[in-house]
Amino acid sequence: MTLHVVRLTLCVLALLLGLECTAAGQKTTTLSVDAARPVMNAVVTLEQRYGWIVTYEDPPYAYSEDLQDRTVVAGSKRRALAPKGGRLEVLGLPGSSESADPAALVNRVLDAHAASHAGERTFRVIRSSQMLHVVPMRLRDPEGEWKPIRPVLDAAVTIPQQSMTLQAFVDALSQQLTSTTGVPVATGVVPYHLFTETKVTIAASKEPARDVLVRALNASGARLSWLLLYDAFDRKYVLNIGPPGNPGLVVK
Amino acid sequence: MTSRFLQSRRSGRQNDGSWRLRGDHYAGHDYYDQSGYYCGFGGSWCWFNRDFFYLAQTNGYANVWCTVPVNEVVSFRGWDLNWQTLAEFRQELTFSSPFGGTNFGGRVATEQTLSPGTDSCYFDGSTYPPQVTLTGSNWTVAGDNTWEPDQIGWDPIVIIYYQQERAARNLPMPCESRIPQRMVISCGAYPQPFYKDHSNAAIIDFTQIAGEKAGQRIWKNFQ
Repeated sequence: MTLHVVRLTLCVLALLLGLECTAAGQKTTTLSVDAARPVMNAVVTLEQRYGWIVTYEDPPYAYSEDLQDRTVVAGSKRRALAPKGGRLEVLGLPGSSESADPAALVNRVLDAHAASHAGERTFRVIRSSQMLHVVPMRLRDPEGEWKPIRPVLDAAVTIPQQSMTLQAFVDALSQQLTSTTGVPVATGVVPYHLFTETKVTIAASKEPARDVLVRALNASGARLSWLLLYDAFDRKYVLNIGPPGNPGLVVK
Repeated sequence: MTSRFLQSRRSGRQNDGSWRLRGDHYAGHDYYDQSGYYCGFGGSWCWFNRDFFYLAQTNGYANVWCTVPVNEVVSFRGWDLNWQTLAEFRQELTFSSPFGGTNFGGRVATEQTLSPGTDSCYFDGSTYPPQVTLTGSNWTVAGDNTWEPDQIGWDPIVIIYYQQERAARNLPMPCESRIPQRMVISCGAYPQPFYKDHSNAAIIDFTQIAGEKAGQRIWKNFQ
């Protein structure tokens, strides 16, 4: 009985602080986001809250209903296209990483995203050493038909063993992905000083690009995550790498 | 000067090699009177950064681990030769005491993000994530007490993207990523003391870019 009273008291305090409580009395929180890439914002928030590394890869948006055109200047050569996105809400997230199963929690985010998109699940989770990866699995083609897709970083790459800077490695990986997949991949924002000063020795023979990238980033000794984002106007991917939990993308 | 060194005395050398001192503390930097005592740079006076060696009350104790620069003088040295959108800054560590300067050569200066900054170039849906933290780079201080370069700027493809996208969306320019940079310096096996804060900014306008550090904003044409 005493324990219940304590839990109830903690719950009342938690509620006063804007938190939630489970039946067991654990503090829980809600993740709520309304953005062009709600899944990206959600996984970055999980990185920040729980100290995990969860990378994210955009689908190559092609259907007009999946995009928003924010061009307001008449005669602009560039169309300001971005994913349409929308709202995503996940209730009852654990208050700390100790009681959280990373893959299960990321799957809850993806389920919530599917629920807000007529039940259509477009992302899945892949595990690798000390990281999770949210990758696209389905997409509407330009005619609006759902089609299975293969994530860009599933593509096999071959890199002869050599020592090179992280910058040179990421540039080489992007070039090889471009030639292998036919979709342009460019290096985006990366930690310049770290990437030009840090050398890694990497070799790969027909290995998924994702595994090779994980190995190279781990070899750097720095905690790094990535966001592989699709530019719908230029029809290219941009590989952005940085510390996990980018505060500029974290939501409440 | 002497009046600032009241009630201070050495308490004794610790097992880890540091000195434990007791002294009065002032609004500026703390001073410790330890005449005849070695405290890390061969002189008989030490001047320590007040934040790192902060004591909660007067006549408390402080561990003296190493010397800390009292300032960092920043000067623009040019644009990166390979990536010409990066402004490069040179830093000179300064130190003063009644017995002259000290040499920080070989010590390692490391940047930290004091607190997440702001990125006014970013908009929801951008292909490039907001740049609000630093990467935690480090530099070995040269024998002349300088370290360089601190490179501030954007990748050219990001600049072109924001110039075109923000124009198409009719979003205001210039925009900037501004991040508070806190500098710390290695101190043997001890925690790295903070010695200087800066505000660094990388700025994009429709036809120009700029790198900014320590109030020096350097522009160049880029379109």
